[in-house]
Order: sequence, then C-alpha cells, then structure tokens
Amino acid sequence: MAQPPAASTSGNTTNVALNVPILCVAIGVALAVAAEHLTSPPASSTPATNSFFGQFPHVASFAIVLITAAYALFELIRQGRMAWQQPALAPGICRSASFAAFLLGLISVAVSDTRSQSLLSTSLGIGLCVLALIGFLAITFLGPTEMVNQKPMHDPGQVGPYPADYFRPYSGSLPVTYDPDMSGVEAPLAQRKPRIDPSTLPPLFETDPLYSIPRPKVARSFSMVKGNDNPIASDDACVISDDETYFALCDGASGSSLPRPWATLLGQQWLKWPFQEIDAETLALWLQEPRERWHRWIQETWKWKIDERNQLIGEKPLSADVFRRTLQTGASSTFLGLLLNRENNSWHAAAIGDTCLFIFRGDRSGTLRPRFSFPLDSSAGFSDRPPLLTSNGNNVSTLAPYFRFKSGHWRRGDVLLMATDALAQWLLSQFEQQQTTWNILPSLTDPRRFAELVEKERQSGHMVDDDTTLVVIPL
Amino acid sequence: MATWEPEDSYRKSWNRQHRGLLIFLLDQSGSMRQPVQIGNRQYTNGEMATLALNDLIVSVINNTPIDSQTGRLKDYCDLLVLGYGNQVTPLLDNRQGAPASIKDLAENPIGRRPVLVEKYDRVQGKKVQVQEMQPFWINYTADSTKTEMAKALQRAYRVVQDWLQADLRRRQSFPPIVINITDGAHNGEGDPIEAAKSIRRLYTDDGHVLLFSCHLTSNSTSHLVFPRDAQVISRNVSNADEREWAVNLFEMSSEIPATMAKRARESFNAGLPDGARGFIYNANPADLIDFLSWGTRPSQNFER
Repeated sequence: MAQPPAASTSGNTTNVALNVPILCVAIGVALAVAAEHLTSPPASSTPATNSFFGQFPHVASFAIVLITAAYALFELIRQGRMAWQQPALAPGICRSASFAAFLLGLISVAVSDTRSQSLLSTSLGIGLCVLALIGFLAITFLGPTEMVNQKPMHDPGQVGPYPADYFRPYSGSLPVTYDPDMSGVEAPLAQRKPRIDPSTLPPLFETDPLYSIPRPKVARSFSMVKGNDNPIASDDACVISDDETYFALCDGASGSSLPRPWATLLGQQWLKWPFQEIDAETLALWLQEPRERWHRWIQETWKWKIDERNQLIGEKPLSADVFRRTLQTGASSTFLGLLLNRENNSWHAAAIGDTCLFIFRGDRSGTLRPRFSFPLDSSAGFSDRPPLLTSNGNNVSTLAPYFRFKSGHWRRGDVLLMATDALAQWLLSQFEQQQTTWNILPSLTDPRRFAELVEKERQSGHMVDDDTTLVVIPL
Repeated sequence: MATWEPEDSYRKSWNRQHRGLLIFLLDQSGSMRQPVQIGNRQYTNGEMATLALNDLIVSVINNTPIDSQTGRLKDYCDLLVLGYGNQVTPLLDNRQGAPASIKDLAENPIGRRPVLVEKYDRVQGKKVQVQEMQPFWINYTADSTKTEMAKALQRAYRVVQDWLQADLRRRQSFPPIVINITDGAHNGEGDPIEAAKSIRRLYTDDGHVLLFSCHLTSNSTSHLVFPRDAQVISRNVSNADEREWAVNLFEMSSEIPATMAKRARESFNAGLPDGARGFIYNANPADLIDFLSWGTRPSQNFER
C-alpha cells in the first residue's frame, strides 16, 4: 500500500497556496487508507462495507479526495496563469505542481488498490509518480536560479566622463511600430471614490512580525518617521535579541520597494548567524534566507493583504504593474550588526552602508565624550547612494568588499549608540562643530524628548528629514 | 527675490508632506513634422518629442516608490502636461489643466504599446534590445501653424503660482520643475525668453523654480547635454536657424543645481561642468528625472 508522504516536508520548496490542497489530498489519502484497514480487515469479503457506518469513511475520504483534487486543479491553473505573467515565480510553482502531481499519482495507486485490482490504473499511478518525481528533481537541480532583469546604469567598467554612447541622439524607447492613430482605451483620470475612506482604517501590518518594534529592557530604542508620519511608515528596522547581546539596526532604502520587511529580515538573520568577517561566498549564503523570505512575504502576505484591503474599501486589486515592479526592483537596506560579549567585555560590529555605531566614554570629570564612530567618521561621508544589501540576486561578490568590521573592549559606564544616517550625520557634524546639543542622547530615556530634539533640529535644517532611529546601549 | 547660500538650496526630497510639481511642455506645432532617421526607421520630430515625453512620465513613475500600505505609488508629486501649437492645451485629461497626482496618472495610461528598450543581459554580459509593453499618456499631433511657446510658459507660470498657493506646506518643497520639449522654433506672441525668466523667478524655501529644455531637431547628427556656455552650442550646431534657437533655449534654461550635479556624478562616475545648464540637444531628457532626489536607493556602482 502506498504511504502518503508527510505533507510538512513540502514547506521549504513549495508554494503555500498549493500546500493547502496538497495537505488536504494527503489527509484524504490517509483517510482512504485507514478506511480500508478499518472496513476490510484481513479477509476481503466481510460484509462490513455494506453497513452505512462501514461505508461512511470510504465515502467521506473519497469526497475529500475528489474535492481537494478539484481544488488542487483549480489552484494549479490559477498559479499557472500567475507563472505565465510572472516568470520569476515559475520555478516555484512548477515545483509545487510536480509535487501535487506526485501526490495525485499516489492517490490513484491507493484508490485503484482498494476498489479494483486493475493493474492498468495502478501502473498509471506509479508512472505519474515517477514522472512527477523526475520533474521535481529536474526543476530543483537544473532549473533557473537567478533572474536577469536588472539594468545597470551603464556598462561595467565604464569610468571617466559621461560614457560617449550614453546620450545617443535618442536613447529612449522606440515604438516597434508607430501608429499615430493609436488611441488606446480612453481611461480618464476620474477620481475614484472608495466605499470606505482608507484613512479611517487601522494601518496594515501593524501586527506583522516583520514590522515589530523591539522593547528591550536595558537598552532603549527611539524612532521618528520622516515628516512625522505614522510609525508603520518607517523604513528603519531594529532587531534585538532577548538577552540584549545581539543588536541589528538596518535602514531600508526609501527609494526601493518595501524595504521595512527586508530590513527586519536582515536583522533577524544577524541574530541567527552573526559573523566575524565575511567573504562573497558566505555573504551569498547569508543572504539566501532573508531573500527567500522577503520574496515569499511579498507574494503571499503583502499581495494578499493589499487585495483584501482594496476589496474592503472598494478599490481595484493590486495592479500587475506594481506587483511586477516590486519583485523586479526589490528592497535594499543598510546593515549594522553589533555583538556584545558580556563575559570579557568586548564588542564586535559589522556594517555596510551609513548606519553608524558611536562609543562614548566618561572622562576624568565623568562627562561622556565620543571616542569614535563606525563605519563613517565624518559628516561629509554621507550620500543618498550608500552601498546596500539588496533583496534581488545581483552580483553579491562585489558587495562583500564594502563590509566594514570593528571590535573593541568596553569599560563599565561606556555607552554605545546605534543611529541611522540622518541622526549619525547630525551627531558627527555636532562633534565637528564642537557643539553639545547631542549630550542628552546617551542618557535619554523619554521618547518625547527624543521627538522634541529631532523635530527641532529638522525645523532648523540641521538634521535631514529622514527616518531617524536611535538605539542607546548603556554598559 | 529671495537669496540663498548655494549649499542651502535644492536639498529637499519629495515626500508625502513635501510634494513636488512637474510640468512638461510639448511643442505640437507643424514644424515638428520634420523627418528624423533613427536606425532604419523614419520618425518625425514630433513623434520623437512625444516619445520623450512619455518616457519622462514613465521615468517619474519608475522612480516613485511603492507605498506598502496601499500597493499604489506614494503620493510624491503632481504632474501636468501642456501641449502648445495654435493654443495651449492641457494634454493629460479634461480636468481644466489641474496637475494630476502621479499615483492616479500611473494607473490611467491611455493605452500601451510595444516599445524596444535596452536591457542589460547578465548572461550575455551586454545590452540587448527587448520588446516591452509600455504605457503611454500622450498621442502625437503636429498640425498647428503657430508655436505659442511664450503663452505656454506663461500658463506654466500661473499653474506653478496657483499650485504653490494651494497648500502652505508646498512652500517647503523642492521647487517645481518645468521641462520644455521643442524644436525651438517660436512664432507666436510674446517673448519666450522673458516668460522663461519670470518662471525661474518663482521660488520655494528650497530654491527657484527650475526650467529645463529639451531641444529635438531633425539634424540628428550632433547631440549635446548640459553645456556650460553658448559657445559650445555654436561649435556643435551647424545649421544657422537651429543654432539661434538652441542658444535661445540655452538662455532660457536653469543651471543644474549642485545637489543634482552631485547625484549625476554618483550615478555615472562623471562630473558635470560648473554652471552646466539643464539644456539637452537631441538627447533623452529622462536622465534629468534620475538626478532628482528620490531618497536613498541602491547605486549600481557597488555592484560592478
């Protein structure tokens, strides 16, 4: 008798939408098998199957198998259409499909075994299983691994003045055939009126783990969104381990697509896998899980939530253009990871981009003085194109050299600050101009005072109006 | 007229609180029917201008981040397209020429058409031409006998003024940008150079309004971007009429602000000359959009 494989093994390789019918089919098969054992124990000609109660498990399991098989078929067609529109999703969907086919093969084996002794249907089922397994393995090991869709700003290796061919007489897109009468479908910019005003609804993802805000006990974290927007609109993510020895602060790039979940995923990965140094190969491995999870989150959680919300307020579902662009451009984020060793009073930090770590130590009179900052040490070093970790599978090998590492020892009474770019730049220019407005930060406990300070400095133009996050770690 | 320390201006990014305004002016006069040979196909000058304009809109849309809460574009800027020939006509829709929000615009193109775009193929390691369906908003027309460029600029002036007054927060935004796409021939009423000057005199707290020009001609043998002085134009443009128009458009154009020049440098590893003007001759103006502040973004420089 064919045994249904444990459905949970499919979790890593298949798509959740398909996992549901797969799971149901597996349960149906299990029920069918169980029913057969219950209703026809060893002798095959007992009349138990004639009674209603004996018949029931059979009928029920058949119904489940049929319904779920129909649903699996429907899901397959739906996902197939999605794969057609989104080639990037195709390998995952094909994997799921072949796995589903494998299970359907198993069912037909199971069913043919119980109902009739037909050799044909049994061998057909086995054939289907084998084919599906071959397909599954082929996609997994021989299938595409990386999408080619990013256009670099200019050819690699191009340096010096404007590349001569960059501004050709007309470097824009040209129509394949230009039809001056082509009018398209007229769609006036009518202001659509949603049934419900979305601003009256609670913001989405407030309870999503990828949007969670840490509540450390010893350390303190403060955050202000650009333009004093809702905290959910922040692109900064801070992740702190429960014992407050691992810290990560990542500043999602506002110009990229959905950077907040990506920033959180990077922070979580630091907690799981901190590193002393990193080379290109290890970095590729390190990024693999966050990248997979980000793509899964976009496809399964984000799209679903947006569609649900849009349906509620009477808007159109998420446009295919936006969905495609989100996956194509991907998210980017800076990264600053900090690791404290409380046994020998040492710390280790890894950083890429312009999120900075500051160390303050008291002098003889007890006043805290900045000792150094890492990885940037001057306010002139900031730009809006820092090196970033990206969610899309571009060339990781060239990113690894932009990582910076630093280690050191702390003394009791030292204070570590982690700050995203706007605040870090402001702090550095404060030090450079010998100003002392910063000195409330190391002992800051009240979020309102943080908000006041940031607000005031933004108003006066000293601080860039950007998402601003501060983590204070007293030692 | 307000004055600024140069390093204090043009520093703002567009965001929901400090939205921006883009006005595109499109020459639709009969002179835009001049043929242009590109590759083995023939287009007219006006077709090229219309394409450039659609590309500009696509470029703005591609630069506007997606709002994770709504799944639509973030409401960062308003856009208005004015066509000019015998008269000045708003081209985007029938809302009497009020600027449209980029997020509404992105969702309502008048159609899509196949276009050839160049993409970098990582496998082949070179640029390849790919056919793509691209949305468009503007259709090509070039049937007027007049070119009322000065009127178009005056209209843009009023739009900018009204837009700034509509909401006090807009005073703190990056200043509005006007991009004029034309073959340069003006035969309407008024003086476009004066009209251009008055637009450039408008300002927000972050700087004066920027006016950039995109000069498209049927003389496609030479092209020029962001020149510093008119002499460069004289050297590069052989046709006497075109040279005069080009110099006029150059005079009308604003200098590229230092912050935009810095971004150009970071994008291309190349600097713009000091005092470079936002004047483009026979080239694609979509790059100008990339030089605006769109927030932190990955630079391809780090992935080479």
